[in-house]
Amino acid sequence: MSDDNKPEYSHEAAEVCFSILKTFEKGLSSLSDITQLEQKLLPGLFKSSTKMFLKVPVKPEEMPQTPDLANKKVLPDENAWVYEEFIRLRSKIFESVDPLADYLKTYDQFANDYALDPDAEILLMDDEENPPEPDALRRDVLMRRERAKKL
Amino acid sequence: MFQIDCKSIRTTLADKHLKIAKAEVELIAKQAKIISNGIMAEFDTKDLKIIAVPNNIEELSEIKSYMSQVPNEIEKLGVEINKCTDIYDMLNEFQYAFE
Repeated sequence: MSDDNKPEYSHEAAEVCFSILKTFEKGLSSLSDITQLEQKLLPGLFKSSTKMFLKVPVKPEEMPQTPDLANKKVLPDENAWVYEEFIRLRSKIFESVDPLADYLKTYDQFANDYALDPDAEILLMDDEENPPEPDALRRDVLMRRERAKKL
Repeated sequence: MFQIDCKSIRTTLADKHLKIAKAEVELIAKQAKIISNGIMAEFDTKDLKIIAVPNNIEELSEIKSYMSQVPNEIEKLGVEINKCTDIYDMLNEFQYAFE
């Protein structure tokens, strides 16, 4: 419950989205930490002892520009697809959390229950000069117990 | 992908109603106590008047005349007594624990 007594998610939807995207990026960067197996199994084949890593896809910081097709000297960025996949994943995740806001609206029907302040209600009833009728109190007790059961 | 747990919200809202209901039962008990204390005080007053030792014949006749009025006065108190009994029945219905 928020400070104004309204329901809210314990985790922000956007926070979840960013954590998924971070996992995607971390997964990609972890791939680049995998050393070449051949260097370990057949050390005689390699003159240098410098660790060699697998060649893996890398997510560019921004969408690589498509080179001029007429210019044969410039090759398109081989990681452009990674960036495209990242963007696709991002839009799909954000799309998937959209209904969460609508779902929260279904709780509006309980607005009166959220606004209910038990201490204020009790204080209002506990009027010694003008005490409420026991019958009215009885009806209210039964109604509130029923409501609590329903909730 | 997402798990939504409504239990805490439901419990919070239900607890609000139960808290008010509990306070209302306490209020009913408070009223019952006030009314029954009033009735008891009335009977105590009557009792004191009746058991008072008369010092002379006038006082004795005064007590006798008062005693003759007692049944009527008790009948008047009957309304309050019935009201009090109804309230205690109510408290029984809510299984109120009397201290």
